[in-house]
Amino acid sequence: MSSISILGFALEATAPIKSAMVKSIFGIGPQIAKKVCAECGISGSTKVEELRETQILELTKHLSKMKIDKLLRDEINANIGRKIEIKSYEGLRHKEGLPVHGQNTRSNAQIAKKLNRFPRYYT
Amino acid sequence: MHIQSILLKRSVWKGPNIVPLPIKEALQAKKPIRTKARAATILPQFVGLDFEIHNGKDFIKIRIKEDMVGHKLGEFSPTRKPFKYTQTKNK
Repeated sequence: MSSISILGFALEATAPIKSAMVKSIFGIGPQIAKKVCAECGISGSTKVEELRETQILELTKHLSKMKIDKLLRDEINANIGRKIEIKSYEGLRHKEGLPVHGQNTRSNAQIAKKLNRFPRYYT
Repeated sequence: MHIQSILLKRSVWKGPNIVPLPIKEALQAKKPIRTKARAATILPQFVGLDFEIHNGKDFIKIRIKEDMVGHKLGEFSPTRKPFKYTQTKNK
């Protein structure tokens, strides 16, 4: 499986640009991918390998302005870190790796145990 | 902080939950304010003051920092004991 790199993200060469972005860029979902494609004047169903040079330039220009990947992860971590630092209830729950919004913990609570770790996304 | 998360908490026309607390006297005497008003919003005037907040059993002492403004007092005195596993001795 070959891939084409745009702004350091490895996009799958044979996939449509819209779903390729969703798959490999943190912070871009289906809706935002649709919006980005529309603003750059690219059809979402164009394959990544078939993009023209000017279109790739337009995409990189657009993506470099957005808050994605590392910037977004750092912002989320900063928000959680502030809550932990002031020792509020939410911060304590984040630190313990338990649900923050008052869910039950007798059973389940597996997603919180998986995700609520500080710093998040860097394991 | 997200603007939406603030807006969704409480209707705008009410404003923050303001509870009459003896701030002036605390500033002069430099003594902690003992209170049970856990639902009171932390205002910018509280920064630097000491509070003793009831958690249902006893009063927990905290100092207000700048980041705490906008939160409630009760968020800083947990009401439940964290679970700790202790091994049984007698078998």
